[in-house]
Amino acid sequence: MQAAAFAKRIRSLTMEKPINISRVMVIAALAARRSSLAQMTAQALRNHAHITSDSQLSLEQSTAGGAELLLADLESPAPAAALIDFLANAPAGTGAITLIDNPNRGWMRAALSVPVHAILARDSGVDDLRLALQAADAGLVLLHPTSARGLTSANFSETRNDNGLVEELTGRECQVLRLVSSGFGNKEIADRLAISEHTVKFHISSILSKLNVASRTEAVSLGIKRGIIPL
Amino acid sequence: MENIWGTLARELADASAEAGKSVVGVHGARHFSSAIVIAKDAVVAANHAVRRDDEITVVTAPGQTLAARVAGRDPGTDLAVLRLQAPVDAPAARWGTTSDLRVGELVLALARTRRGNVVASSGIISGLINAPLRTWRGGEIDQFIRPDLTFYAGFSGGPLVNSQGEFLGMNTAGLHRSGITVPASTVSRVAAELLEKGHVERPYLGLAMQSVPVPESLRSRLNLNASEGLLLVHVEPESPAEKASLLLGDLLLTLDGQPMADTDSVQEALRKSKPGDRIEAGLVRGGALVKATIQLAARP
Repeated sequence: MQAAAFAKRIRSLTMEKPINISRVMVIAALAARRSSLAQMTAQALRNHAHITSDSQLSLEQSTAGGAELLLADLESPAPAAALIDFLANAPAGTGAITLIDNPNRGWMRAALSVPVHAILARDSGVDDLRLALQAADAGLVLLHPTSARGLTSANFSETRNDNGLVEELTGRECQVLRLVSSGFGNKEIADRLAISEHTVKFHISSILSKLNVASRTEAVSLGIKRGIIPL
Repeated sequence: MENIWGTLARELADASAEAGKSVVGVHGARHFSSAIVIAKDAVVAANHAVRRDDEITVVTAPGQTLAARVAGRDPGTDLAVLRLQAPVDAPAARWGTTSDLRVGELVLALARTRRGNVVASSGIISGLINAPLRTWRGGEIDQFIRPDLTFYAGFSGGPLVNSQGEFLGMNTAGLHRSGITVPASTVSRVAAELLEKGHVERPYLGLAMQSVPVPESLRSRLNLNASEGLLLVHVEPESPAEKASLLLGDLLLTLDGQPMADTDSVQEALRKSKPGDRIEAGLVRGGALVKATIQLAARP
């Protein structure tokens, strides 16, 4: 009886458990990549889902299509940052599975604060994708080992990186930092960039993390020294 | 016979009452803060605490209010000037000098509540830096003054007062996590410009730069003293630097003859300038020395 119960439990955690996700939108820059990911998604969901695709995130498209889940292929920092912006403003319940290589910890911190259900490597196969879909369905988060390695407690602490290395800020983060240096508060920055205050706070959190500083003052000072903020 | 305690208590109370006459409350939508009377029809407040530009109510005494609107803002120093729609029956602030302030001096912070009552907090000068400082909001204050007292809600915009009843500056929680006092000289200077122009004009170049070492070969070939310069990594479109034909990749060595080894030096040079000033830039471009005259402008 114990063995049977244990086997039942294992079965419930494996690929045989049905996944209740019916509408997925695949986001990838290249058509071939979109097609490949759509096929993998269909295979992972046993062809029980309606799958659409697009080359970029669009709130109107995903809302009109009723997508419950996005599968986003993030090949560079710009779409990675755009996804965070998008999810922060998307209707409640919209989640994402991301395919990204070597995400920096600032992005990961932001991603885990919005509904990103999985962070996988870009060369992940159908099996990993199915596990990610199961995690999304169960309300859990799945991380690829290389991504998880970036989540040690040291990386989330405020300790300084003494070798002075600074991670690259995204274009949007540079915009936000320049507006911070001009004296604008979160609401004014949000109004100027036509984004939410919530998203501004994400960007500032990411900026502080990437620059390894504890305050806006230090971020501005370092931004000037690093040639991010013009004088 | 009154003891020292009694004398001190009485003097603090008298100072609060007298100086408090020049303190008003500012009610702008959801936030309430304080402000300092600077003219019959103008007060200076903490910019971060005044979220709207008009339909502001200023409380001058219990049950007495005046309408006001923002006449000018300077987020960099967290100062805003409000124009009152009728004259206020209150004396303008008596500003003191802060150049001879010392750590340990006893000071008062004053504010006015929603109900129009004067409230106070007391402490000492905890920290002082007697040099101009750039704030995280991009402005410059003449001195860093950190009082060790409680900044209750609504205290931003109120004065720091000395034993003579003079206003040492305007308190704000919007520039530093500890709460600091914008010195009187900065408040006066910025408030005057806000009343005149509605904003503070700061000169800018339009350059993003990184400090780099000057290669030894370049130093010896061009007979340069400088061991470091500033590599131009971005030239803003339509900026004074672009109009002076500065290019991406130029190596800035001097401004008006002064060595520019780091961005602090550039900030110092800009601090001493104003929009309209012409400054000469000494550069290395393509291995040769070049000079360019930049006419500074106000940042748009």
